[in-house]
Formats: sequence, structure tokens, C-alpha cells
Amino acid sequence: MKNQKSKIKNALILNALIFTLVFSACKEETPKPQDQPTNENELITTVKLIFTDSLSGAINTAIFRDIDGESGNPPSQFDTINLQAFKSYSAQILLLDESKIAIDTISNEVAEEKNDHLFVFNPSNVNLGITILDSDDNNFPIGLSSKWRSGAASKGLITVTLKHQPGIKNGTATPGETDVEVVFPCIIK
Amino acid sequence: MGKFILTFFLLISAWLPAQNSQCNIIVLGIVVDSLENKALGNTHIEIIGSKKSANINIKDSIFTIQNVCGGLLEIHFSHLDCEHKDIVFNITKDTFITVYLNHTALNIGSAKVASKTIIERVTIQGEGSLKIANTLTEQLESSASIRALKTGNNASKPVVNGLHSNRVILVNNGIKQEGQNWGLEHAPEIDANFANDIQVVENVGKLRYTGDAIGGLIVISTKDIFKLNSKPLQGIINTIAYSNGRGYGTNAWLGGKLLDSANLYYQVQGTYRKNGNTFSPQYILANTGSEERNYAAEIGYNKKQHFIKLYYSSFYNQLGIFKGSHIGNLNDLQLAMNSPLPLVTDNFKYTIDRPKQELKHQVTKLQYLNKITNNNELEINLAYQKNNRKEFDILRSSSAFDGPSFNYFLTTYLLDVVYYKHKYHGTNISTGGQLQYQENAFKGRFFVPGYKQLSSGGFFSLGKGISKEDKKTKNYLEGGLRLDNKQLIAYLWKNNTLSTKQQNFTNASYYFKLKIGNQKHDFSISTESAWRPPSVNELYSNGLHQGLASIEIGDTGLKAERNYQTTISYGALIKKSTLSIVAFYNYIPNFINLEPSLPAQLTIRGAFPVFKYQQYNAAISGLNIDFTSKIKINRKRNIENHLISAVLWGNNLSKKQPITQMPPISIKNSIGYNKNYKVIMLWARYTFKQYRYLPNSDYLPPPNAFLLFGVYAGYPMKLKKQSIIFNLSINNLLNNKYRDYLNRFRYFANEQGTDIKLKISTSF
Repeated sequence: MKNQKSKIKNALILNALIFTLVFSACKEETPKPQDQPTNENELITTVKLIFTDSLSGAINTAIFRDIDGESGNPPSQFDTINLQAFKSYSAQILLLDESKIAIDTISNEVAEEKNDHLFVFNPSNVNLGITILDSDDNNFPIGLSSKWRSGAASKGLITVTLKHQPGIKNGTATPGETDVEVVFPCIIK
Repeated sequence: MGKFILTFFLLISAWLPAQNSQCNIIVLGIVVDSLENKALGNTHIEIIGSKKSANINIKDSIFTIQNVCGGLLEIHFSHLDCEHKDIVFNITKDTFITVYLNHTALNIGSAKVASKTIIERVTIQGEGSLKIANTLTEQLESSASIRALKTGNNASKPVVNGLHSNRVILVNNGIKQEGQNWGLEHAPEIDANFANDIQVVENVGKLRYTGDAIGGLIVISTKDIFKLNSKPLQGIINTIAYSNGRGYGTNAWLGGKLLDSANLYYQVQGTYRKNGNTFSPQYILANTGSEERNYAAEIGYNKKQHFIKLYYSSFYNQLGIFKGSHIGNLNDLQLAMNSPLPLVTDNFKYTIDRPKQELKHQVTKLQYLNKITNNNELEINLAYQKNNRKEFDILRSSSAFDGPSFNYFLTTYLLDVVYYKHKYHGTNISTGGQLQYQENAFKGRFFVPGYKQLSSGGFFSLGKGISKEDKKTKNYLEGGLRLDNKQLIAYLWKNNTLSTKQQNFTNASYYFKLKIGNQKHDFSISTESAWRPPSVNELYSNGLHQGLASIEIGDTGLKAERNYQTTISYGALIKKSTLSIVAFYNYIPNFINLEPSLPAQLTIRGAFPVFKYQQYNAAISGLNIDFTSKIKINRKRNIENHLISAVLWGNNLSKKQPITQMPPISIKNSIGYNKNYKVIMLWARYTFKQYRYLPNSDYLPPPNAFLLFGVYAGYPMKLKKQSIIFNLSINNLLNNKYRDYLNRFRYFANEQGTDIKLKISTSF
């Protein structure tokens, strides 16, 4: 009788063991090596600056485009910002993810999470005054919309930086992580 | 499906009746050192009154006495260094016995002195069992030749004699570990708690598994199921708590003989461990928590000379990456490095946020062992490994895809067959081969492509004692050859079109060693050569390494890398003191390494420095010293002193400049009382500044030298049939502020402060 019991007990242990050995290797969908990789991660591939002449309403754009992101090929388009001397422009920034079939407008997300984002403009050697027009709920600047006032003819660079500052935005460029940093050549004629 | 059939077979065979005839009984068994719980070699076993006897010559092997007549038998066990024992057994059927002998000899920790076995190994020192290690690398660091390459505190991997990653082969439970081991921040997916024994192989056994152990071969073994004693239930339960990161964990092992009527054994094991943000002396390191959940189960069946076991293990680890290390571009990196305090700080919490890694590694293994005779053995292993690595970067917005940024799947199938013949005209022979098929696929961010790889290899090795009959000399000569072929097909997608690239590599490896010596001294010289084809990341990687702000680019034109190493070692065992000095010169033509390359790559986040895989002739030379001495205080008490030190030089011979990222010189000394698990040791470790580096190849110069202190203590207790061991270990006793050259987060933060760990082990 005792023997019988211990046999049953042992059989139970054995079954439990086998169960563990056989069924614990549950399947998670594994792709094949030759499959085209899917990338659901967001990329910012394109920075588009749209300048509208405050007087004439003429539109002028400057684009940085790197479809495959940070790795792989160099940028496919990298424009110079061309402005006229002693003019006033209203500037809008458009950020796009053009690596997907359905192009994603990342700048809309920046607008939605305005309290966590800041654009910083740093002109060097160009006669430019840049004022950010939009502001977030805490009255800190955002930078999607700005006013650019040009001075005398000059050649230089403008660094456009987008900082991601979740919960740490204080109106300065220091905190957070850099999402975008493009140094556009700029010519004022 | 195959796995299911095999378990079914095991299930059936479990109910087969045991053999029960008169003088046809087989007695098998092992002799275990009762103190260390390790199987002994060099034992003579004799059935008193009959002429039947057997010897165990090789450590960890099983004795067999055949054609035994049943009844009450008195069996005599004698070992060179142990008390002799006569035990009476009532034997009526084929029986496996485990005998415990009191091993009185000094445990010298390494097999360097006086070893006749073909697989000679350097054991990770005995203190490993007392140390409370969270990771395998931490456990390994007690060997002079091994250092830890860390990415923060959670991810660490072993550096053996200056080399790591693809050049250090880890064999876990008889199977070569196959993970994404190319990444510097990719720690081995192995639970240190499951390891019963860890060895750094320094003999012809290096050719047993692969031909590419250019840096070294580390063999991690779990308990041998057939060496469990015949109790139905035995167990060890460890409970661990540690102060830094407020960590806690438990690890349990259960095992025993399942059926009285058949030699059916089982063992199960599990670990759970969790810690929150860790503390450095001045601040909390944000997002440095980790969590680990591992389990394993094995069943083994033995009938006559046949041994079958089925093993499954699952490793799961989630680890936070220090938030202050995550940077968007070079300016962020500069800011992070210049800041006296990390840019991101946090309160203490257990939550693990992005950036983080999530790893899962599963192994299923079926082993068949046929001990045809005492000196003939056939081993067949079938293994299936599945590795999944998910890495989560910081998200740019809360609406972004919150799955893994990078999700890699590596599947490996292995067939391994080895035949051992011991003492054939005084020679130990082993020969065999491996056939391995591997597939890699990924979702998300590109770093290495999907690929298929077929590897095949075979080896032949010999070892022969060349001593005179007087047995006072222990001369041994061993050597072996190995041939490997690797075929790699990589699948590369560009602009929605697939291109495949195929590469094929074939080459040979060898190992020869001569050892001369006696009971007190030995001297050995070995020469070896191994090779490895360029790995997939070295050929095809192309991407941004987050946290290092660098773009790494592979080179499809790389050739195979080969090394030629000569090692000279001296070992001494004098009056309970042991000394081991190992000097080596490792010449590596076509050494593959990441080297800075111009121009920087322009991206939407600014310009990043570019590093390309390049080949040059390199050489690494070094000296490892391990010295244990015992100073007698009185008749019963000894003070033990243990010193380990390692010096390394790495040179790029082509450019006549140092190789960067080499471990700096370090010395560790432990002193204290250590006997029968009653231990109190105080240690100090001094790590020099690394002066050998290239001034313009790194963001910051190597950090300053540092001195650390620590304590570990152990106290055993007996409660009825249970034994309880208390272990205490304190790391960084003085809460020193320091940075380690081998930690890739040294740019951003100080190392951990004081950590007090307590472990309670109960065994029954």
C-alpha cells in the first residue's frame, strides 16, 4: 500500500517534470533570417524649415533628409538656408519620418508634448535675430514657430537643435537628450 | 516534437523492471569528499572477500564493478589523502552508491600540481563558493587571469587575459553558449547560482568544443545528476539579501532519486533575484535596478553502462541601463562628461524604465553517455538553444512605439559526439566532432543582419604520462588537432531589395603541452593556435551605438583571425602553500578591432565619430600570479594569505602602439582564517591606472588608480540533519569613490559604494 502511494507520488513528480521540460519552451513569433526586417521604431528622417516672407508672403524652404536614419547612407538632401538681407520671416519647423510608407509627421507629436520639448537656434557668423513665438503651458518657449529677422549680407551657420526634456524642461538648452541637431549653412544676400 | 518523443521514451523506460539475477549485478558509484562535496579521483574500491575491485583514477568519474554476486557485501574504500572506510551494503540488484570520505588533504584549488587527467583545468578558487556573486562574471573574477568588462553595474562580461566577447568561449552544462555575445554590453545569459563548478580550461581539452577559443575557454557545470545520492529528496535553499540596491533573492535546488526500482534521478533549480537603483558614494544611480528569474529541470536515467539525461533551462533577466549614460549626440556626451554629478538622478526605486535590456535564453539538451568499459566512453549531445535579446532605448515621445527598439532572435541546434579512450597503452585519447546550425533574425533597429550559419568541426587529442614507475615524477605530454569549417549566409536588405552574401572559412587549430614535475613542483610549457572567422557584427554591423555616441561599421573584406600562444607556467606546493606563476605571449596576426576612422558621419542628430573594424598584427603578453600561504599560529589554527595579481601588455605591432581597453595591472590580497567553512577574510585590491592607451582614441583619459577593501565571512551550523551556512560579504568597505577603466560608464558616474551581502544556505 505504502509502495503504491510512493509510486503514485513519484509518477506525479515525473509528470510535473516532463510537463516543465516539454511545455515551458512556449513560442514567441520568431522572424526568419531572410525576412525583411520591420522597424516600428520612430525615426526623425527629415527636418524641413519653411520660411514665409512677412511682407510678400513668398515661401522658401530648407530641408535636411536622411531616410535610413543614423546608420547607413549619408543624408540625401542637405540644403542651405537662403535669406534676403534686412527682411523678416516667419519660420515653421516640420519634422517627418519618411522611412515609413505612411509618412509620419513627428512635429505634431512635439506640439502635443510641448511641455517636454524645446527647439534651440544658434546662428554663428550670420546677421540674424531669432525669436521663438510659441510657448508651452509653463510659459517656456517651444520653437516650432519663430520669427527670423535678417541683417546685412553674410555667410555662416545656424544650428537647429531639438531637446527632449521630459519633466525637466526649464527653458534652457542644458537638460535632456538631443533628438535633432542639424547645422544648416546659411547665406544672407 | 523531437523533444516530446524523447521524454516519452524516458517515461516508458522508467517503468522497466530492474535486473535481479544472481551473480550478474553491477555496482556503480562515486566517492565524494564529504567536506567539499566534490567527487574524488584516485580511489581504490574493493569488495572484501572477493577479488573484485575497481579504481577511480580520474576525478569526477564513476567506478564500476561488474558481475557482483548479491547479498551483504562489505566494500573497502581507500583514497590517498582520506581516511579509509569499510561499509556494508545489502546489494540485490544493480546499484549506484555514493560514498562520502573525509578528505584531509589541503584543497589546492587548482589542478596545476600533480594532475594526470586529460582534461586538466584551472578551477576558480574555492572562495568562489563563499563569495556571494550576482553575476557569473563576478564569480569568475577570483581568478587572476579574469577581469570584468562592465557596462554600468548590471551587464558585465569576462575578460580572459585581455580578450573578451567572441574570443572567450563559454560552455554551459556541456553546450557552447550561443547568444549575441559580440556586444560589449551583452552579458552572458548564464545563472551563476546554477554553476556547481567553473573551470578555465588550460589543456588540450580546449579543442573539445570549438577551435575559436583565442582568449580562453570557460566551462561551467551544473551538478551531475548521476552523482546525487539515492535519497528521494535533498535540497539546498539559499536566501540572499544585499544592501546596495536593496537587493534580495532566493535560489533553490532540489534533487534525488525518483524511483527505488530504477536509477531514475531528477533535479530542479530556480532563482529569483531583484534589486532597485544602486548607490554610489554621493548619489543614486538612476535606473540601475535588475530582475532575474531562472529555472532548470533535469531527469536522468541510468541502466548498466547507459546514461541518459534530459535538461531544460530558462534564463530571464531584465536590467536597467543607467539613465545618465543615455545621450543623444556628441554635445550631450560632452555635457554628461563635464558634469560633476550625473545629469539624471533619481530616488531609490525598484522600477526599471527605458533604457533597459530584456534577455531570455533557453536551452534544451539531451545527453546519452555510454560507459562501454571503465576506460571507454561515448558521449552524444543534442542541444537546442534559443536566445532572445530585446533592447529598449529612451522614447522620444510618449506616443511613440513602446516595444523593443531592437529585438534579436538567435536559434542554435547542436549535435556533439565525443569518444574517450583512457589508458590505451598508457595514453588517454579523445576524439569527436560537432555539427551546429544557427539562425539569426531581428525586428526593429538594424545592427547586425539576419543570417544562417553552419559550423562543423572535428578534433583528435592525446595525452600520455611519461613518468617513470617510481611515481614521484608527474611528467605528462598532451596534444591535439582540430579542423573547423564555417559557412555563413547573411541577408542584407537595402531599399526593399534583398541581397545575400555567402562566406566560407576552413582552418585548423592545435594545442600541445608538456608538463614535468613531482609532488612539489611542476613546470609546463604549452603552445597553441586557434582561429576564428570574422563574426557577423565585424563583417556587417552598421549602426549607432547608443550610449557610446559612436557609429560602428563592419568590413566584409575581413580575413579570419588566428593566434599563436605560448604559455609557460610554474606551480609549487610546499608545506601547504601553493604558488602558481603563468607567463604567456599571445601573438595574433589579423587581430580584428574597432578603430577610429575619419570622417565623422553626419546624421540628423549631428556628427558622430565613426569606428571601423580593422585588422592588424597584435600581441598580448602577460603574467598571472596566484599565491596562497598558510601561517601557523598554533597547532590547530592557521592564518591564510591569498594573493593574486595580473599584468598585461597589449600591442598593435603594425602601428607600434598600445591596444586600448586592456585591463590595467591589479593586485588583490586576502588574509584571514579559513577552515571548514569557518571563514573570516579581509581583502584589499589595488588597481593601477592604465598608462598604456592612445591619447586621441578615447573621450576621457583612463581613470586614476584605486584601492578597495572588503570582507567575507562564513559560519556553518548543524541543526539535526540540516546544515546551515551563514555568509557575509562586504564590498567596497570604506565606501570609496572611484571609476574603473573597464567600465564603459566611467564617463558618466562613479562606481557603486559599499555593499553588504548576506547569504543563508540551508541544505538537507
